[in-house]
Amino acid sequence: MTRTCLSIRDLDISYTRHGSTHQALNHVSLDLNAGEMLALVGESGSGKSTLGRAVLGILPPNASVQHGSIYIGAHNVTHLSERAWRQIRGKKVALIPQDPAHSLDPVRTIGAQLAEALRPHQSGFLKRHNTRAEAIALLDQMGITRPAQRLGQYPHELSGGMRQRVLIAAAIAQRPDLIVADEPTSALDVSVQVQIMALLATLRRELGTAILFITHDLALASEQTDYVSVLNHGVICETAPTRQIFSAPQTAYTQRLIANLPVFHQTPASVPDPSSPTPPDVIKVANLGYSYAQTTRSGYRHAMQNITFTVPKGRTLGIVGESGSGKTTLLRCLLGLITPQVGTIELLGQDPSKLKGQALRYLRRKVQFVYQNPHVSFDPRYNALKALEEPLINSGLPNPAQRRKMIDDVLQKVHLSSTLLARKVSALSGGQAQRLALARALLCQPEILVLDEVVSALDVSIQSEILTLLENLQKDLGLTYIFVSHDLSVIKRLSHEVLILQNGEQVEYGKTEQIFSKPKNDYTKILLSCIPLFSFSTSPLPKENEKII
Amino acid sequence: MIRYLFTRFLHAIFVLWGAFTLSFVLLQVMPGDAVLVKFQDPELGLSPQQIADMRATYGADESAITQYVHVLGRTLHGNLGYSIETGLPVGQMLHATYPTTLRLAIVSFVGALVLATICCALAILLSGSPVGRYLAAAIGAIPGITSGIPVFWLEIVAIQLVSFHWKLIPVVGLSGWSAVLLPGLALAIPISAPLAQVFMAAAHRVETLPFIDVLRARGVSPLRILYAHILPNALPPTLTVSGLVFGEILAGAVVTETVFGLDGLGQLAQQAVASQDVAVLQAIILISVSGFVSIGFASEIIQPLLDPRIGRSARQRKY
Repeated sequence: MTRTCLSIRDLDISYTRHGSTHQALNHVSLDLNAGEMLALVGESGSGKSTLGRAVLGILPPNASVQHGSIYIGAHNVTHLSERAWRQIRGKKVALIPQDPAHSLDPVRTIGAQLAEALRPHQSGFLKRHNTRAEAIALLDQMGITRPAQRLGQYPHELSGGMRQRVLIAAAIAQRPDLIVADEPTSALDVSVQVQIMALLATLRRELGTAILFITHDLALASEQTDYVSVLNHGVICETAPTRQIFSAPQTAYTQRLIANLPVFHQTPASVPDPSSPTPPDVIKVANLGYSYAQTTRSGYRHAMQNITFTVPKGRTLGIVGESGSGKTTLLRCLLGLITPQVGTIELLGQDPSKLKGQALRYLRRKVQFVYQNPHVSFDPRYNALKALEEPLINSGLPNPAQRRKMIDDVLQKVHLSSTLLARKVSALSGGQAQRLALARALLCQPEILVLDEVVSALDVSIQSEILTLLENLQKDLGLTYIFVSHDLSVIKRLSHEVLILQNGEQVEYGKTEQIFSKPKNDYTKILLSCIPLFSFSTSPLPKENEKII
Repeated sequence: MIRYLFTRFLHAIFVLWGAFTLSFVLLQVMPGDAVLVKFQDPELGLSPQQIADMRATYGADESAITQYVHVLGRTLHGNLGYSIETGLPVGQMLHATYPTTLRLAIVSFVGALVLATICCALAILLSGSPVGRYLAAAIGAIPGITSGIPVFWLEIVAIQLVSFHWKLIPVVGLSGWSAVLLPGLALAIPISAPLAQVFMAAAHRVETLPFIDVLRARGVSPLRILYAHILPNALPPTLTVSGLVFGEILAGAVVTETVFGLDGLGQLAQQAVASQDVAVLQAIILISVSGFVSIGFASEIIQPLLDPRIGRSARQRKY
């Protein structure tokens, strides 16, 4: 008989802010047995993190449980006191947090933090010999190399994946029955994501830990999990075994979520007609190299070497690379923010490093940049109208009526209502702000758009809308895109050609279909195998997933 | 590391020389000089000729550049000159007065740090509960109030209450550390205000970082989260500010030593200003600048120990 680790019944949670209440969760019920893994999927604002925090008893002070109950094992934890909670946390239920970069205390050693996780009620450190041995064993179990040495290191000396392993080690330190994993991989590179998912699978197999896996990524939820619960505006609209969710989604909302997954878009948008002549290249990059001087004695570090590619007018080049692959350096070179030491760049027939003054400013207007996080790429004090007017004023268009007409035109192109113009940019949703960022770029009448992870901060449904918008803009205006993403499925949907970077070198470059169907490089093969649901998309019916028992 | 220390040392020497030169220029620009101030007193009945002789004896009639070279030369040899007002060697006068001020500075600085820490700890601990949040807000307002209270008023009140009303510490007849305890603590209150403000702001910022929630989810108690995680993380910016607070301690020392009748550098400075005693003033300026330089240096040395991310060189660790 299976043991129930977590049982949530009819849970209502609401937030009170400035006198008004907001219902975050509405009659939520869930059950999770020992050794099972349930994915709780929802878009931002769906209440998934509230649920995770409620299970750990770390809701913010302005949240209250109005109705329903939470049982962890046999304990009713719905209205526990802080003191009683401390006996449950760590021992019965533990957390694997979202952002490994900020989830470890930066000024304490790994060892001190593990000692605290092992014995939170004693003043820690590794004084006791068995604590030290236990900490080493934990790190070893997480697949961390040289565990004894790690104990003396500080978080900033470890990589993101390594930090997440340390956090998982801390979570399982007291052998809890239940682990809440709140977006544990969303801040990590795809190849590291796969390793962490595999580690979670091992945990539940070997320790029988139940895992509540909270994610915004429906594709990722298909990996390793037994059940998927879909949360929409605080209501669970569907809970079903994982394969069933993907093969026979019951509710319209789930169906829409699945349809919006970029991996299910089979054809890359507008495959160019092979008979038509290839348009002229507007971007030519040859043997590009850039090195940063290092402060240590080792001299120079090559951020990128030997990058060569061309992009024809009206086409999209997708650039894929993990952190440290040199993609940021490449973009900075393309935008003329830094001058490469080796090689040449030609944009619209001109080398930006040889231009000065007027000509350089003209070229910069023709090559526009859209950044990953739309909210931080605007001055927070500006309203939307002022944000859009700025490039027009800078380019010498003092007539307000003309400006207004251009702004109205461009808003129509990005499908943004002009009623939003009076709002502060910070009051716009992520999708709206990204449309506004696109509108601002388009106002300069660019020929090339450099898009850096423009959809990674957005929910899938919004992501899909923005991608469609980008496709249409390209068709209508003949724009050329440089599209950077860590998400291969998004790259596949939008790009005509793909460039894959690893450690500053170009490991693969070619037509999108070729790279996805017949990758030559080992690294590309690894990346492709890391795409969740890739198997689903390439075969008409979901394949039997061996990992699901 | 040795190379770093060496450049820092050269830097400090340069700052000291700059302060010495600047103070010399400013003191030269002032009309008159100490000899005139002292001997022009009509009661002494000295003739202009006698005063001119006196000025020649003290070297006050020479050109500014000659005086500068002379004064710099003897200062480099460790000779701080003679006070015109008392005729005593300046070194001797400093030697007699610096211990009081040093003790006063230490008591008020440590007191201020303790007060700031208590304020900060209470503000964080209380903000956890619904009722405590109002108390925490009240504590958050304290530094704003204490920084506005004039030091001399606070000290007079302290003497009235602690010494006369409650009869806890006598005002006269004390020596050593006990003499600076009450004045030091009174001075600590306004000094603690900027420290507490920075400390609380930093602690509240640390409190919102994700790792604090992770610790709570691990079953670590709020008290332990406070002393083992929040405070150590909030300390580095606070220490940076404490270097600036040193100036306030010096300014406060002048007032405090006057109110409590202590024989310290503050008193000496006040008298030297009144009598334009250039040699004494220059020595005091040199001492306070070296105080500033060494505190800045000390906080730079301590920062990497508190926050490993600032580390200049890979340090050897035990594990």
